[in-house]
Amino acid sequence: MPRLTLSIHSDLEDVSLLGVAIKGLCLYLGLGSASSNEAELCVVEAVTNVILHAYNGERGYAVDVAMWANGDKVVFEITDSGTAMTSRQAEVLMHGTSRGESEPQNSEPLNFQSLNKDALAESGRGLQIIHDLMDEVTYARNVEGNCLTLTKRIGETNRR
Amino acid sequence: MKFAESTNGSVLVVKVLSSRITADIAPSFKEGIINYVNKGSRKIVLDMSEVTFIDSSGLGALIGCIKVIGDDGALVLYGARDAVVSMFKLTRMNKVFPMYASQEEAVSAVS
Repeated sequence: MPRLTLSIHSDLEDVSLLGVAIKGLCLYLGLGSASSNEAELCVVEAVTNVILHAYNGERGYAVDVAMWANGDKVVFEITDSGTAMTSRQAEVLMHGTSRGESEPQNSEPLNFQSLNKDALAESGRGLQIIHDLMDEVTYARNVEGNCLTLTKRIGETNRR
Repeated sequence: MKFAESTNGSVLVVKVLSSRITADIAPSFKEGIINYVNKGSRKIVLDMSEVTFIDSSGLGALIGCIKVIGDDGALVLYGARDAVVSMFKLTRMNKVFPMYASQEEAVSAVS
């Protein structure tokens, strides 16, 4: 199957180039506009997380994103050689979190009018976003580093 | 990070001139808005019409801004595109940041 690998150095300024490329490729592969936006967001969140946490914000390390279409789905494989995710981070990625403010499955309306805004977190939503928007998420640590695999299904009307 | 500002009554209208609010520019975005607050603007309407993409870092920067503005001020948005609106709804931040279709509605809401 056709497979493409995009590679950037661990520089936050390069992530937008990657995101724009991913979105264009997703549209070409038939994900549709909304799902392509979501895929772009998830890859940007994942790569930003690698740069900030696996590489601790240091520049000069490789972040690779391989992507391919496989039947009714598009797969993204993000690899790096940085520090492993914590077990808590991996848990959020694959199973989500119960934190109320970012829990869209919770049908109870939140009363933000009375919410203490100082209690709102300024970071820590990226992994939850990936969990919520991707159809499948797997994370593995091996001798070469970290491998995060994200899968997005192609809707029937958009399949090429 | 570039903005274009104008006033509408007692409200400061700030147009975001970057198409993306992401981790690389989130700190300068937050700094820019807080500069307006420090100069005395506590009711701010953000024109998001040029923004096509925002990530969680951009969202975090906005949250940092409302913490500085506090409960006696306001930060609301207008003109947000679909992808941006979807991000706010996904994270339920649309409950924190009121979003309006037009500048008139946004200004009216905070005046």
